[in-house]
Amino acid sequence: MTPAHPEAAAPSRGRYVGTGNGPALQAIDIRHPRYAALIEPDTAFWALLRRDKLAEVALGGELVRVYRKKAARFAEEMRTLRFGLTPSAVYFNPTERCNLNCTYCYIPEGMRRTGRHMSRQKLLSALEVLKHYFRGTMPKGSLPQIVFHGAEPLLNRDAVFAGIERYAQDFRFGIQTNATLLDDSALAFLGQHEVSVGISLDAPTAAVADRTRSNWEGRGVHPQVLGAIERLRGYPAWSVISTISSENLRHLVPLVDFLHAREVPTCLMNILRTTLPRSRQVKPDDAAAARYFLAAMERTRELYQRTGRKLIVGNFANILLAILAPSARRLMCDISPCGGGRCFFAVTPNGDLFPCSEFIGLEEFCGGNLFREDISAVLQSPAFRLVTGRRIEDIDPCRHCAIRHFCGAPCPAEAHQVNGSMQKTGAFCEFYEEQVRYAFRLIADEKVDDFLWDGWDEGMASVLDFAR
Amino acid sequence: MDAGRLSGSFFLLQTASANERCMMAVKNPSKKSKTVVACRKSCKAKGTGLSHYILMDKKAKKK
Repeated sequence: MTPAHPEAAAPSRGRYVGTGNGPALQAIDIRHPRYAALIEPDTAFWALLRRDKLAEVALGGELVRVYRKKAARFAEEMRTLRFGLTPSAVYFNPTERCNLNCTYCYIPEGMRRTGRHMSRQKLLSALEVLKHYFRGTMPKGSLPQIVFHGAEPLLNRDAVFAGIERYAQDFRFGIQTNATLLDDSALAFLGQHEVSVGISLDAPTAAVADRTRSNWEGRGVHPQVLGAIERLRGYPAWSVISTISSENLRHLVPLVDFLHAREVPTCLMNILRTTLPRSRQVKPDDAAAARYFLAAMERTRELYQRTGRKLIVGNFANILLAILAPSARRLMCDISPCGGGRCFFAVTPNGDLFPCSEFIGLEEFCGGNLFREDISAVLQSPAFRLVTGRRIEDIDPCRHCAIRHFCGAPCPAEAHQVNGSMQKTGAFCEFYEEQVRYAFRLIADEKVDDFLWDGWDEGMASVLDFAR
Repeated sequence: MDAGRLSGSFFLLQTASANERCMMAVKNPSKKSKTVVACRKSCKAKGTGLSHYILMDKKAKKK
């Protein structure tokens, strides 16, 4: 057998499962009445086995023979995904300021309240620098992605729109906004320039949403967000991001109903990050978060069956992809190292570069400045390498966990701030464990297509297709 | 692909996509459950994946 990890190969022929260079297959209970899962964590290989045949199949035979032939290829695929990519996207923060004071925001309060805007000229200069950088790194025919992010980017609307206008041919643009300033004229401009729009909403009712999302006077903005949602109906590329906290946990199923009824095509239901202390006040219980989240996923399927229209929950779809087609995953939080500093990076209004927006409040993670240093050098800076060098193999209990490459132990900023080290987990574990188990149950019951966008596997090669 | 080398009930409809074949293995509840199901797809990893923003494949078009 060709070892999956030639650099670590022992003088073993790998004849047996579980010893020497043999496949390190781990069985997990997916809480399915007929099936259990067998996983080789390093290569992200998996199979569903009838529970009564688990030992017989796992210890050898046809499946193991097939796996042996493919192990090196799978390992190489994971190596490329984990260590072979270069940045192709940027979180671009055109202002430090925000008109809201959300409980869980990872941008420090002082910045959001009185921070600086990036001037129009500076913003254009920054995009010029990025254009030249990506020209040397991106494959021909691919455009890098710039997402204006926050704080609230529309507070610096003139500069942002000037950038979009001037560099429309050089980047694919997106904007993530709290929607309070997304008026008709803004939407017309964004549509005209083919900009993807993401808005934030945590609950279907103001009473719940306003608990965590309100302005500096403590007043909620739910009606403005609902107005923006109505205006966005029919917009070809828009999405809603919801943050799961203790305050909206019990309202995730109604939230799914709400979003689906308003024809939202895609959403993210992100678990809260507890990077900054204030957000820890609304940290949900790990197991409860899993329970309510999975109920929400079930609801999306019920609605699809009833109406024929899907509401795709992007972060869960990403976990399904991580299992079914690892190299096709879109979001890079649930892989180790995460995408921060290697697939994307963040730019602040003064040009400072951070591995991800989650680190913007943590000065020690500033790797350099866009206007003063070469971006390639910043990517190799000690600050960035702290993040890009965080490997799940160095974290307990992840190093022994069968689903380590379907979870990735997010998030490094949270691990560093809450648990004191990059070699620690983030704040949640069961939330990811249960999602992976649920994903395997969906595969066993042939329901995965109900959770993924139509045509999700177009253009993909089938590299394993085994059933007997 | 391994399909040609595997015997028995592994082969399924020739016209079905790989994903359909893999999923069909556990599709028909009236038949005995398959003992083993495994599938995987692959594509060129692009590495674009922002955690707080959904990257859309399709471009936004004019309203």
